[in-house]
Amino acid sequence: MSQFLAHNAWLVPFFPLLGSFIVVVAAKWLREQSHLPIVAGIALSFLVSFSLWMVAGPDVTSPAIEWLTISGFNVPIQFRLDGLTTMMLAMVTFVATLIAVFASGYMAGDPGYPRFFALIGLFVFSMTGLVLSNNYVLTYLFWEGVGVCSYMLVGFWHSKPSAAAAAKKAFLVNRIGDFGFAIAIFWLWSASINHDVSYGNVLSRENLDQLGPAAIMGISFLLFWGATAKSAQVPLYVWLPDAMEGPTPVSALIHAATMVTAGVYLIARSTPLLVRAHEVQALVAVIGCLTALLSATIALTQTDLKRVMAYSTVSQLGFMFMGLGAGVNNVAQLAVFAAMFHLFTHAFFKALLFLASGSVMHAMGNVIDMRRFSGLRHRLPITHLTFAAGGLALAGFPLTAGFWSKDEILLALKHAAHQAEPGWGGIYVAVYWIAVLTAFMTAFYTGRAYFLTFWGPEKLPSPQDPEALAEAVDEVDHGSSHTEHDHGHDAGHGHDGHHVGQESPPIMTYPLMILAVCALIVGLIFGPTGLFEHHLHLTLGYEHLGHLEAHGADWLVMLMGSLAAILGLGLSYLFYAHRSPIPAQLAERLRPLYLASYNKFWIDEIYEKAVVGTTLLLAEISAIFDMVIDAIVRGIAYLPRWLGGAGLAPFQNGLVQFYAGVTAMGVAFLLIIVLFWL
Amino acid sequence: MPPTAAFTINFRDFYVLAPEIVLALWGLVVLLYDVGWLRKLPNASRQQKLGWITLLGVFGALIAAIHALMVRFNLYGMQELFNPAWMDFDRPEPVIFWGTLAGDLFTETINLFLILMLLVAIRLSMAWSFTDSWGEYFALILWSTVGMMLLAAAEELLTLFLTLETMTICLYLCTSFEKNKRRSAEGGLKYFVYGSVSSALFLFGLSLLYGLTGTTELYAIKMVFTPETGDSHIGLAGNVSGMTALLLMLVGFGFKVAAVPFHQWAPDAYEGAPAPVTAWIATGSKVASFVALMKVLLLGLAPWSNHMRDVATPGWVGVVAALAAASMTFGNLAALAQRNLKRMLAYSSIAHAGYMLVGVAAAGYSSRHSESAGSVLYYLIIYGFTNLGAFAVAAWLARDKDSDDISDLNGLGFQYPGLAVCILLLMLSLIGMPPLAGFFGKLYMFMEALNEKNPEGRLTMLWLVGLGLLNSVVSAFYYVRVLKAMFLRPAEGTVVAPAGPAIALPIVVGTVVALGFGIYPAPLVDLMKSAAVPMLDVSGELIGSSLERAMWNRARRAPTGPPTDVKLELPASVAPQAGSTAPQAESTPPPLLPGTGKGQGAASKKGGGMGKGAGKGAGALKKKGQGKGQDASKDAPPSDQPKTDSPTKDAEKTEAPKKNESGSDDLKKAAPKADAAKP
Repeated sequence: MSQFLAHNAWLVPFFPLLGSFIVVVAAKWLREQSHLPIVAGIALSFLVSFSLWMVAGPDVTSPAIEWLTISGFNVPIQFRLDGLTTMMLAMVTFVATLIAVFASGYMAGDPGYPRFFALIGLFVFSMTGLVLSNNYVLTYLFWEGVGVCSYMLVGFWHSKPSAAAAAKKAFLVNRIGDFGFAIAIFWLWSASINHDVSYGNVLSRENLDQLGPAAIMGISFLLFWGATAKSAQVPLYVWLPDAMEGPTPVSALIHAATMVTAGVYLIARSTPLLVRAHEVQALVAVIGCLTALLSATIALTQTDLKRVMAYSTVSQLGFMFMGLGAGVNNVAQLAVFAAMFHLFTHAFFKALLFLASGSVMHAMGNVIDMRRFSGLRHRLPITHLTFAAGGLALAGFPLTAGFWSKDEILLALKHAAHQAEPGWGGIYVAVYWIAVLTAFMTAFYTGRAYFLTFWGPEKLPSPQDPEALAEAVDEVDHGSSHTEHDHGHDAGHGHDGHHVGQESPPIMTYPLMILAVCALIVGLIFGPTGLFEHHLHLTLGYEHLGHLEAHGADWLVMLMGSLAAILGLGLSYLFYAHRSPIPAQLAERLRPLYLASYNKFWIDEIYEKAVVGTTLLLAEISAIFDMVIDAIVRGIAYLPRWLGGAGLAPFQNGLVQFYAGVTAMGVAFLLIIVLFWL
Repeated sequence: MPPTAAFTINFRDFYVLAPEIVLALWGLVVLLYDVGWLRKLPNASRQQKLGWITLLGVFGALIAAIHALMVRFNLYGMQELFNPAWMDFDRPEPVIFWGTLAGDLFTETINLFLILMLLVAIRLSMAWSFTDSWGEYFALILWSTVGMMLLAAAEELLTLFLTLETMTICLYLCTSFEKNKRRSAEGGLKYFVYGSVSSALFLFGLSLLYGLTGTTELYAIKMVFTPETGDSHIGLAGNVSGMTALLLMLVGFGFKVAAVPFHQWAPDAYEGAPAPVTAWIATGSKVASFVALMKVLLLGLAPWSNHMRDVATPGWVGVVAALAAASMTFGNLAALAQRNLKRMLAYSSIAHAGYMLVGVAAAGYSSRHSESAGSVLYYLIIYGFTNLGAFAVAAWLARDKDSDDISDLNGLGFQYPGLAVCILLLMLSLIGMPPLAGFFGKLYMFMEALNEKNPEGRLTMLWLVGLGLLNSVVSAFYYVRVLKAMFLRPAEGTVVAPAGPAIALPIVVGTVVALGFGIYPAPLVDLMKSAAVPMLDVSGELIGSSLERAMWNRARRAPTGPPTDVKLELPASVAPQAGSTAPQAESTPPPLLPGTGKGQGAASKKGGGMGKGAGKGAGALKKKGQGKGQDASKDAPPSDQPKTDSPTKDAEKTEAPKKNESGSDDLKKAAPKADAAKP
């Protein structure tokens, strides 16, 4: 049975691909039913993934299909079905099914309806392929695949300039990371036994033992470099907040639950390699910590609900990297379990929060600015409750999903501070305390978003809002002529008899409810029971990772986490539930800090000047130089054409006796060469 | 001393030749049908009817070819199903008709692909009515294919020459079939005159080679030239007669594959011939000729390849490398200036011949003969199918516009986007763009060329590959010109009519091949690499007769040692005429020939490796031991020496001792080792 299932693992990526193929071929006939093949495909692939969960084992692989064999370089198509992969598969396909159902309501009436679902199917294909692959090259291939899908989905409303720009930004920033990943693969290929880049070989003990210290450090660093772009870490996180220009289900699926965790997955997959480079691990922890703190600070003051969620995603990814970075010596197992558990729970509650935001946006006629609406809890009861559930989980309220996983990460950090190499412990102490602070901030901004949206006096967006007017002026300034897409995100929305201020249709609320239940209980089911840890233990190379003799629940850490969550939520209740004047006063008092946070620390502007400006300047200089090159190239390009035309034409004069002469001369010439020159 | 071996023709020989026989007879059927029943019909309907009838015959040949492969790989239990007593399938890898032709995995594979290409080419011929002698036309195309298939199977120089001529003469005639066009006749005449001269030179080269060796069998030639000790790559330093023979033979092959400086017929003949004939000359005949070229060079003249494993030494690797460099560069540069699609494709096919010659040179020089040769075969097949598609485009223009300039394609992309995208993919594959098959063909071939670790020749190969890559860049220019015409230029003048199935088929087939084997190249590459193994070796059966002659001849050339001494030292198992028995063989000194064990190893490897199991490997030895009598070998005590310990099929049937079988296992294990030990 298990062998049968392992042999049919290819069905997981196949079903969504088939679905999207059907949509592409039959778009003309399917039109408004285009979601059917995709939802069915992803649901089927979830069923297969779920059954694969049962057969997982460290060395379970599907049979290899030979694909690329170039003397000495062999890349078979082979899937690995260990704990990590099956966990990711089940999570991805489960969340994707719900989001696809949600999207079928959310995207209704959009002219690009079939295109949207075809791309979603393609994305799920690439994402499942990414986590299934059994070697770095195939992973890289699918890694690029999810990147392309993300690019096309962020720019789904490509006639809107901001969406097109965001898509371009996402793609370019990701290229920087891909570069690091590619170099890592080249290095792995040249340094590994037999030039075999499959996980089974690269992560085997004998291979890791024969790698030199430079290779271990360099490859780990390059892999992490690749991960920083995909998983939006400092300094390459800037694309993710902008990527919210895409449709909200895309933000939920790709930019919250699945694709952005690919970097975390890659590092977790390579953990047996990474634990041998404790310097890189410290770097991972520090970068994760910086990212978490920075983006949490930015999220404190944002007014766009989706942006708050985006920065919170960046921040939570930072938490995961902190967890991965904590895997020193004996903490390794605990650390990677903690990080992956956070990834797992985060997928549920963050997808939920995004979908709930989408539901708000849907009800508000595509307005997402929290200053333009408030007090929606009576108008949108289901959205309100589900958002609250997601918010509690994100804040890490005791016993919700986020609580358990965040607690594990804090625990890992605490152990790391004790177990790290001499002299490195201090870093982990600092990271630990910043993590606690960030957890507090997380709770605060989550509460803020929740109370601003659902509490306070009831208010619906109107075109007379000062923010709406400012936005309209902005659009005119940018010379945008796309009036049909006005300033909102969706064209065609609200034209299907849907009125502003009403709860979303059931097809959208049911996925919300399911996810809300998951967000509340998934941590309790998988965390304290050891179910998750046990399953992840079935991952390639994890059994050799260092582990603590016995670690029970650490009440101090739990108390810390709970305290941070409750304090943050309480503070936000005080500030925002009844519209207290304190936040405004605080903002006035700490104006520079407030402005910095509100303007995202001007990181985008700095990048614009420093990186983009420099690049453009370089391009300008190159353009001048290019003219010289062009002249040379043209000259060279002219030469063959002249040779081909004027130079060789006389030899093809159509006289057969001449041809015979040339042949004879040729033979004689060759004979002379061979006999006298060679 | 003539061989006294009793090679008998049995039914199996005809079975192996079934595709060729079907095609040859079907040519007659087509001819008779044309002058008989169809005489009164108007030209166009006669063409269609005859075309379908011809296709019927080709399907028959296709079934025969597929059947042979199915039996080999024992699909659907074909081997048991199809093994009547008179068929004698126990004979492995038959070298049929007194050792003149091979019938192994390699010939079966090539037959299959040639027939598939023929199918496409014949369907393409039905696109429009360019002649009125349809019976002759189809019959000649079929017979030329028979020539190609036999050429690919030839194991002996005289057969090789005859089949080469069979193929070429049919093609001369086909070239001038468009009788209302002056160009067609002119192209045919030039092709013929040029071909005759080169055939004469080729024959001269053959006769020199025969004079040097006293044999025409490729394997025997190799044995004669292989020195008894030291590096088997002796090269040709100071060997004027050998060099002359080699160069003269290269004229013949160079003419067939259109390599510079023997290419000059190609543009004229390609342009003059009707497009389907051009397609067939550029693909089928090129495939067959390259195969023959590889066989002669890599098998027969292997010792002459180079000296001390260096490229720029007297030897054919250096010459072929020079031809490759010249062909690539000349073909691409000349194609740049062409405005006519067919001429452009003609020059580009010269360039492709250049790329493939790089692969041939690499195969001669590197120690991975069969892998390198396999990569050339892969390139050949991909090249064949994509080029058929490209020439179908020319046929389309010739049918509807009566001219075939590239500018006639203007605006095609807007009228027929589907086919235009297919043509786009074909052109990109011919350029060598990933992920299309053309890219992988070049990649495999050039990677094999660079694979040799030997520092001396490596630099030269690097230069050659670098030149090839540079030329690929140049080639992009003229292929993209086709795309530019299709997609960027507005339509002007008369509109091309819809392609119809006859023209769409080659284009679509080419695209499917380019795309399919680009995304998933492994199966075809594997098939070609395993097919290249028997191509570069002769099965054990032939060794007996030719080896003896070879020994005799070499002894005659050697300064010391009368021929008789040499003959006596032959190991019994490979010299059936020696009259020795197995126990005696045990006492004989180790084999004199370095190649003896090699040949045996290859033979049994073929038997074991092709999925037929132990019966074949054992059978190979049985046949070898035929002359000395099977009973002797059966009664021989089992010994450690694998050569004499050859359990036959009969022995297995009568429940041979366990040790006997283990002996055969040892043999099989030893075989790859022997193969690997090859320099």
